[in-house]
Amino acid sequence: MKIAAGGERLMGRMTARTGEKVLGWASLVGVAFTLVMSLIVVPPDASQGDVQRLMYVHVPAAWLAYLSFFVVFVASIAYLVTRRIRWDRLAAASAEVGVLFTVLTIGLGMLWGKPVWGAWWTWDPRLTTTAILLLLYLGYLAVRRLPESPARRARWAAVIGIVAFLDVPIVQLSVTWWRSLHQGPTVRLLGESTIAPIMLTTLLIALGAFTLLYCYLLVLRLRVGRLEERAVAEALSPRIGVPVAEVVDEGEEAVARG
Amino acid sequence: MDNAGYVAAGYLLTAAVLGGYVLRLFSRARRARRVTEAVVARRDAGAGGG
Repeated sequence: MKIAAGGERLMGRMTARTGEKVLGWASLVGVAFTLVMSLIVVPPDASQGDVQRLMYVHVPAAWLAYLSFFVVFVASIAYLVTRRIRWDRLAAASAEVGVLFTVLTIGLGMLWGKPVWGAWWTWDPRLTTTAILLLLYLGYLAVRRLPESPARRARWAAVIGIVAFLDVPIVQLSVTWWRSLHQGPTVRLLGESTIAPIMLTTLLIALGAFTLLYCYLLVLRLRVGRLEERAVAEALSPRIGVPVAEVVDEGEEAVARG
Repeated sequence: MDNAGYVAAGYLLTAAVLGGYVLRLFSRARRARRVTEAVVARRDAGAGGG
C-alpha cells in the first residue's frame, strides 16, 4: 500500500503542467541529439552498411514497448489491490503508447528486414511473438471500449493487462529459445557486448531519449484522459444531479463500489 | 550496400508515427476542452434564463 501511495505521489508531480513541459523539451533535445549521433557521427556497419542505422530507432522502440507493457502490468496489479481508478487510467494510457511503439518496432523491423533478409516479413519466432504481442494489446484496448460498467471494465482490463504481459519475456527470449533469423542479443548486462563502443554509446543515448519521450507521451495522454473524463462528467452532471467535482474526483469510489 | 532509402523511410516513419500521435493528443485535449466549455456555457445560459 505504501508503494502504491508513493507511486501516486510521483505520478502527481510528473503530471503537473510544468513537469509535462520540461519532459517535452527534454525529450525533444534528446531525440535531436540521437538523430545527430545516429545519422552523422556513427560510422556505417561493416557488414550491413547504412541500413544498420535503423537499429538506433528500432531497438529503443522495442524497449519502450516492453516498458509500456510493464507499466500496464504493474498498474493493473495496483488497481486490483487498491481499486483506485487512477491506476486503471495509468494502465490505459501506457497500453496506448505501448501499442504505438510496437507498431513502430514492427514497421522499422520490416524496413530493416527487406534489404538484410530479402523479405519484408517472415514467420520467425521473434517477429511472430511480437505480432502476437501487438494483437494482445489491441485486444486490451478493444476491451477498454466495451460499453460496460466502469468497475467491471477496469477489472477485466486489469486481468488482461497482467496476463498479456506474459508474452513480453517470450518475445525477448524467443531468439535464444528457438532458431531465429532475427539476430540474438548484442548488448549484455552480464558478459561482453558484441557491439562497437561508439555504437553502444549512441544506442544508450537513443534509449535514454526515447524513454524521456515515453514519459512525455504518457503524461500527455493522462492529461487528455482527465480532460475527456471531465467533459463527460460536465455533460452528465445535471442529469444525475451530482456536482462535476464529485463525478470526476470521487469516481474512484464509485468504481470501487462497483 | 546503398540502403539510404530504407534508413530515410525508417526515420520518417518514426517521426510521422510519434509526431502524429502527439498532434492527435493535442487535438483530443482541445476537443475535450471545447466540449466542456460548451456544456458549461449552455448550462449557465439555461440557469440565467430561469
